[in-house]
Amino acid sequence: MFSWFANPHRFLTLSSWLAPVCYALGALLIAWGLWQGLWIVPKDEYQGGDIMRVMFLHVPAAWLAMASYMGMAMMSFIWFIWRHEVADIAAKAIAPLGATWTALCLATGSIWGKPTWGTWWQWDDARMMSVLFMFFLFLGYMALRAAMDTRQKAARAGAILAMVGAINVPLIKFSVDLFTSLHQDASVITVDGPKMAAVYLWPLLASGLGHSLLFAGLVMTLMRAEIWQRRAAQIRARLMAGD
Amino acid sequence: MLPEFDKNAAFIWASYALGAIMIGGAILTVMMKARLAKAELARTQARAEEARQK
Repeated sequence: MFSWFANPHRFLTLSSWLAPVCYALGALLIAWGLWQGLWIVPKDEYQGGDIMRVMFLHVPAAWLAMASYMGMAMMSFIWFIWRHEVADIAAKAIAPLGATWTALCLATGSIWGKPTWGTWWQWDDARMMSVLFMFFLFLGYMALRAAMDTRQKAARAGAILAMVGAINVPLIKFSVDLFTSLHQDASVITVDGPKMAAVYLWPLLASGLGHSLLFAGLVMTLMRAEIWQRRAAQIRARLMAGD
Repeated sequence: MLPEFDKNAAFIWASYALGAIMIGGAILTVMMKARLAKAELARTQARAEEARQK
């Protein structure tokens, strides 16, 4: 299956219609989630009143931050084992977008934290620190790739960092159970199913899916750009060689 | 018609404004990068075609 997707031409054909579909569906779901979250759902006094409305942006950003890191690590693994160039291109494309959504998660979490916990940031909070560490892993991945003088070296160094750093993702998920944290326990993805009321759960899930589709569309567009850049570089190299 | 929130309205709007700026910025950057890469490939292909005809 990986080999079928490893063909850049096949990927360009597939993404030429799949990326716009992802954008359209993603925008619709985000808009619906936003409308529900800001206008429709009642405020929850137990969660601090209206401030819980930040959840419809913060939680999808947090889910996507973790999912994007896992995606980058998986693509790196596929490149590492099978040397599929499209997998490396995907890992490279995920990094800046993953960093953006992780930064969004950190920023909105901090804004939510101030009125709820009375602090913008808590240095000994396991959840906050492990997400911050993941943000630095994304930045480190991009810096490491940029520092290498060949594409192969960049792909290899990046893949190793991405795979090793994947250990941090389950740590983020279970940090609230294992360590001291201001964060509440998991209320959506739990063994016993979601503990959240349906009135909040559906807009949250729609928003999460919308962000994921938008993210997937952006990754595909960045991958297309990278393939075009590599093709242009190949043609330039052939021209220089006088072919 | 904006919704009315309690005393924490500023925090809520700040979060969503930041989200709009960051996600909007990411979309713009990605689209620009794709357009530039496509134009660069077209230019390079045209140069290669010219070189072939000479």
